[in-house]
Amino acid sequence: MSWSPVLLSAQVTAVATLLILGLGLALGWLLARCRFPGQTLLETLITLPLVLPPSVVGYYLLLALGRGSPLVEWLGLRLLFTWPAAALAAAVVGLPLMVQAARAAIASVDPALENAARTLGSSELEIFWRVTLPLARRGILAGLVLGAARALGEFGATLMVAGNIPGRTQTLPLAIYDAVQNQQYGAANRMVLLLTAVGFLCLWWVRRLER
Amino acid sequence: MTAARLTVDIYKRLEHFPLRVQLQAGSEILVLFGPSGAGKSLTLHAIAGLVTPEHGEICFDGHVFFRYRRGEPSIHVPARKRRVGYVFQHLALFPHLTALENVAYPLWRQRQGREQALAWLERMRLAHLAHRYPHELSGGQQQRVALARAPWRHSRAFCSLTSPSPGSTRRCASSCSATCAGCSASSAWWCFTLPTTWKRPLPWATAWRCCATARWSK
Repeated sequence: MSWSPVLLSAQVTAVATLLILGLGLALGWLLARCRFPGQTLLETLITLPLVLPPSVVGYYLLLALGRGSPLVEWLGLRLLFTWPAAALAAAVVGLPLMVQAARAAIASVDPALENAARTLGSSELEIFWRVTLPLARRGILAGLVLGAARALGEFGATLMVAGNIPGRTQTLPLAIYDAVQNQQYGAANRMVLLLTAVGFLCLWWVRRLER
Repeated sequence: MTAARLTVDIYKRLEHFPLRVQLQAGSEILVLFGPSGAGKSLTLHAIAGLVTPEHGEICFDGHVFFRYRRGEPSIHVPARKRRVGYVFQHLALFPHLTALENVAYPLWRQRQGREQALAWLERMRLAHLAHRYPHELSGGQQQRVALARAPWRHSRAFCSLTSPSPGSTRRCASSCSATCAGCSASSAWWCFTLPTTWKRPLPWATAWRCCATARWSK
């Protein structure tokens, strides 16, 4: 088994997890604590990657990162077929799990506690750090672990936006596909076992967090 | 009544009736009476800045907390800048912090925050329980922690939503007097809400002035 897909997967998952953490916390808080027009629409859009085929998500990402999109034309971000594109794809499919968990965890924090912090002179950001986040941390962590596990296993959308370039964008799930195509069952077995073990441990941890 | 320090004149549309409150208070202990659902708690919430009235004015010691009137610039000071110490009906102690950390919560930027918090707990005769979490304390002890937490950084005023049972109110009385004595320098006042069904005189209120000048119109 070559180590490059393992390292690449770790790199992609780490960046995706950071994206999921930041975006998931912000969106979870927004959906739990604010009422605004278009809320249901936003929620539905965030959750959509959970039910759409990965190829559809990949196609949208291809449009967003490809030639003619504002990201490329205005910001000069040429991410297509690089590992950051794989991280982005992994983040998009992992995000719904995090947002749902973070929203539920933040909504379960008694608003009276946040009001108490307000009368004690805390700004909204300080309240989030010192009251809401510590009280919701188990649910948020569970969502993050689930999102990261999903990001690690991302295959379809990654293939479409990052390709399957050995050593550059070939993550573990893609390497398994290649190994099976080339009838290298030994390598495939090892990588399959590794991903299964990581997934199993993640879910085990989440169950323990939720208890 | 001493010279008016707090003036409240607000209007708020509620689900079942419009609430109109006009009241003035000096440096005494103000008690708000009224049947449940009359808007007692809401009035205190409005003073603390946790609820925004439709229009009206709330002033304290020359500071305008809230003003929304036609022809005048509107003012809405956020709750965190009003320095109104607040004891919530269900106390709202932070469950993830110990008694000491709860009291020290607003003092964390100050160098001697922990010592100050410990001094408050001592005043409440709770210093020996400083490292217990709220769920490890009895109801009365929790109430005293909440009382010790409210008067942070020389609060201008206190609001307290007291549970309706007379027993708990009496139990709280000695702690209240300790808190009041401790911050007489900052000359604070208290609000208690009690249901009208409770007709017994307030044994602890006789030590201070007690008045109910709120007018409720349903």
